Amino acid sequence: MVSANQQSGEYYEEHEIQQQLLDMDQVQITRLWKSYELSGSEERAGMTGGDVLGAVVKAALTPKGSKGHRGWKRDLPLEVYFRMTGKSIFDNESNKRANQGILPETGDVLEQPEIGAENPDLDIYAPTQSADKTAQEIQSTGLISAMTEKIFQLFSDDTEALCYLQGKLDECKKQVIIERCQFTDKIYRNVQSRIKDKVLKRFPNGLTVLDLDS
Amino acid sequence: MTISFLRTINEMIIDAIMDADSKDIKSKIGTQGFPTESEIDNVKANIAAAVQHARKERLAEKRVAFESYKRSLIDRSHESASQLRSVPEMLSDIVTALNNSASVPKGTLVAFREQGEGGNDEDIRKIWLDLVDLGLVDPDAPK
Repeated sequence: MVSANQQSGEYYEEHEIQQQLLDMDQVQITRLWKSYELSGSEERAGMTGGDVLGAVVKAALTPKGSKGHRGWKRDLPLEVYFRMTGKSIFDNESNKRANQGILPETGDVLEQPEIGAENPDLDIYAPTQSADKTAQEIQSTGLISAMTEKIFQLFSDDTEALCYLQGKLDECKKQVIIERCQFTDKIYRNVQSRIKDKVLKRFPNGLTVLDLDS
Repeated sequence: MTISFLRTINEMIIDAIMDADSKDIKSKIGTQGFPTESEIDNVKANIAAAVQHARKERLAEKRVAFESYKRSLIDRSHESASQLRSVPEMLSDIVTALNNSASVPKGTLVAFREQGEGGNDEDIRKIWLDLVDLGLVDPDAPK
């Protein structure tokens, strides 16, 4: 590993990036692969987690000043750089596809026609330009309500988690949630951690592919 | 009810994956929704190939840049060296150098004599610069 203290400059040098890429292990690759797919890379941009990883590696290795270069700041850990760059890459790809009139994959998205018949795919990461329109369309189907209720039900016996979720639903900042729910910093983190663990267990494939049956 | 709430929850699921214990992640490799061992090996092989390719490209670029830098140095030194002498002075340096047969290999002597036969000013300048490059003429020596 290259020590940041050994080098100066805001961005990693090319040889430092190369070494970090070569040092990537199975666990890092698996986490990133999964994170891209949970963000809907396949449904929205037709890119598997492996495709996105490859595109990020290419961008990281592209020299400064060349097309496709994405600078890597020293204060960004590898996972953060890969998540941010990967998301940006498949957002761009998704926008390109939207402009070309290519519809998102809908194969295994929803199997409950009475809820999602008019809008079979719930794309919670729809491109910015069309986000409002997509959100309005989806809201009209009641899908969001159904999904939100499902999440709240998961925590019906956990009042702290319910208060946290209500705060998030009301789009409150951390400090407001802490005050509203009378949390300490530590309790806030514990509640957050409990919610993360539970939603991961309940929705291991994320919310881009909804399973409203179970 | 807003979609941003669902985005937040999805981000929490992703955070949970990123924060999960390494052992848990390893145990999920090859299970539904996770990459297989061979897919991960492919990613690693692609990374190694991409890094190797980038290193080769950069080396080639540096080589070209070095050659061009070297050429510019030689050109500059030739330019300044030839400004130090007039053509007759260069001719005199050449004659002195070639007459000093003890320090000039015989083959070189013959080659320069052939090159100089019937030469014009430009040929003389070129021979003089070649002899400077070979160290047989000192451009800074008193005239």
